[in-house]
Amino acid sequence: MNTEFNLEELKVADRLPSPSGTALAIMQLVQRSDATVQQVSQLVKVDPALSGRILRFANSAAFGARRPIADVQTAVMMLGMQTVRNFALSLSLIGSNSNGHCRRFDYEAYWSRSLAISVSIAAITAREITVVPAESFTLGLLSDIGSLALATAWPDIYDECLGAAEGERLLALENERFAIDHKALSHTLLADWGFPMVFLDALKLSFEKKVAGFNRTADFARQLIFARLIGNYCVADESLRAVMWPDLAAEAGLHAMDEPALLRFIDETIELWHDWGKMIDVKTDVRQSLLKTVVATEPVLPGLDLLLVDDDPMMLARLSKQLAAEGNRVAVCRDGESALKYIIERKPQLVITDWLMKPMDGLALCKALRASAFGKNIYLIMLASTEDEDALVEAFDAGIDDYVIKPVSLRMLLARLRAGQRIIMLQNELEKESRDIKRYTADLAAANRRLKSMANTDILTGLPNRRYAMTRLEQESATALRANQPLSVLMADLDHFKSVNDSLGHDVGDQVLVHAANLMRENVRTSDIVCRLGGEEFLIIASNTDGTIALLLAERIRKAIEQKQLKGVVLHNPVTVSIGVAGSKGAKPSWQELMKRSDNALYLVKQGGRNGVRLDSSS
Amino acid sequence: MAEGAVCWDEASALKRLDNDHDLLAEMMDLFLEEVPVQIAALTAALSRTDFLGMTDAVHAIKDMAGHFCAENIISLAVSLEHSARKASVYDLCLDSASKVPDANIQLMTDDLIRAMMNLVDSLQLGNRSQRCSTSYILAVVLHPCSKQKRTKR
Repeated sequence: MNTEFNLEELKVADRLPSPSGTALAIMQLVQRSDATVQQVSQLVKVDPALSGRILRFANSAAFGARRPIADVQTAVMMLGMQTVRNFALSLSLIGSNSNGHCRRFDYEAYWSRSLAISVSIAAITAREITVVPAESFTLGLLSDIGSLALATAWPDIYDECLGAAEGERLLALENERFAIDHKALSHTLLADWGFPMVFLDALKLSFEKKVAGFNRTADFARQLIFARLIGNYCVADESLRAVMWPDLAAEAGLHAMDEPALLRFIDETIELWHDWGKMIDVKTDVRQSLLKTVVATEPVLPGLDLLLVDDDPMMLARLSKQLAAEGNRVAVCRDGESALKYIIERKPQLVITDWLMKPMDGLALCKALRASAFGKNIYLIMLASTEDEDALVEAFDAGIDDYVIKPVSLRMLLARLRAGQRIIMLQNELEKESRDIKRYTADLAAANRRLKSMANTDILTGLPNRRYAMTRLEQESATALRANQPLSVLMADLDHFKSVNDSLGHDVGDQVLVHAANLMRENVRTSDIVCRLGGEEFLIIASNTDGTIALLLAERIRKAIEQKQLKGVVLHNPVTVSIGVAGSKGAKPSWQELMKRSDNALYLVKQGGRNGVRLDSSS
Repeated sequence: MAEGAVCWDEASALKRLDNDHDLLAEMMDLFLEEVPVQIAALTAALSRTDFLGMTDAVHAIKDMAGHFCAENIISLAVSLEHSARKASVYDLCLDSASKVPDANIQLMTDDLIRAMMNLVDSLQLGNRSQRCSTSYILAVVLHPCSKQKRTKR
């Protein structure tokens, strides 16, 4: 894909998750400055399910309800219109996106986790108030909406991304395919839906690993990170929960919770989560195993994607264990051919290969890789049994980046891997930069094309404008001079147009202009150029046409406009046009003079009762 | 070297593995699995008087022994690899009818195989999981090449 990300385009194409029904109505209402609690309550009451949920929402202990609230209006007042609006928005999104076509995207787990985050952020903000808990609840529910949006807008491509991605690579892949990642898209969508600035800022901040700073936004961001961890914990199975516990406990320390307090807090949260799940139809019996959530929680994976190639199984056993212990992801192959196959499929960042192997040896493997597009950037380290100069030169010529002499010292190999990693990182940065530059250049070229075309186009009628008309007429005049050809211009002016604008308003005036412009376009020949000079004034450039023929053209246009009146609008006078025509031969007279003469002819038509055509007398 | 004497350097081998005893045990297992394969390849190449094939097998044996810092085997392997390579170059100049295994190479091969068997014994003393018995390996690999040829025919 790799085009610029365009939110508006996606919205128009109706490809994003979007609110519907009552929620949409509430959103539109709340957007108006004069919306009242009564009006919002009325709308809520139309939807019994929503009414029930909002009452339950308002009565929720986490939001500090002190006495039971029995009617919707009080609930709306208590919660605030914005909160009601966002709550309705979330519910409508859940309702219409509980499943979909993206195969690897687990819709149930997505909402289940979002609800868990939502319940915990509300409870966290109730403990230490940074924002109103009821408001934070809705933000929690939608805090990862970008993932859902990508799965909704591009189910197939996103499916592929999820399949190919491991951990951090998902963000990079998303950026590559969609020019945006799910985090940035979450932010964009929430901004588009009018969520408060402090939420948006905190959300953005919460994508960082560690949040510094001690203001409301930073505090709230830390709460979001904590809530996200709890959300992941809720949807995890027992073994995964055990893995997550240390991180969670550490994060809880920032929120003045020791382990017993955290346990209690999580128990309460899980209970609330189940309650809410029942109420708003979100499944809460989702349990993700270790593998699945590795993708969902995106841990930072240090080290390199390595491939070890050696026909010596002991060497493979030894190095794969030792290199994996250093945090690398190690794969092994026993000969060059299977290595080549693996490299094509999995694109490791670095290959360590033995020299002598059958059927394909290390040297042949290096040559094959360097000759291919996919292999030319892979960092290659050769395990050599000799330090013989000729042999090593041959290996470097075959394309290796470095070598290690057998018997392999782990310390030396690790040092060389670090050097390789530096090169790989630099290479990645360069590649990203060049991709970015390509994207910016494409964006810029597109923007320039748009600007250029805008600068030459009349927005209302889509016709070329005065600027274009003058440049073009000058060019046509030069052509006429070179080829000693005739050239004519038609100056057209709609009759009594000012009265249309004055009596029926500019909207109708604009309709008349578009109508007349279309008729002119339809009635000229392909070589003629119709331009709108401004107001109700049009210029038609008729190249290789003398005055007499141009007069016939003018008459055809006049007649078409007179006969085809604009439908659905009642005008005082029918739409008619007066046209003055002037012709030249071999650019004599000049194009400026031609304009003047056609204008004079037009003036005479206007004097003589309009709705007519006239050829300039000297043409 | 005397039969049964320790012919490898456990301390150096372990040091190379960061004193990872589990990894060493794992590599011993792999070694015991791989030895018959390489020795069979070596004797088969010798019986075919395929000197280039011999260098491949000897090279692999050298690498395997290298993991256990078995210096004796490594030096035997280095000289056999060298001789076999030289023989393969000489071999190119002769027609196939006159191919005779160099008596010297035959001797060196026997020495190397005996040293390998020695190493197998030593490793098995130190390794409880005896996946592969010496007698089995001997049965597979230690018969004279003339006899092997006869059985084939």
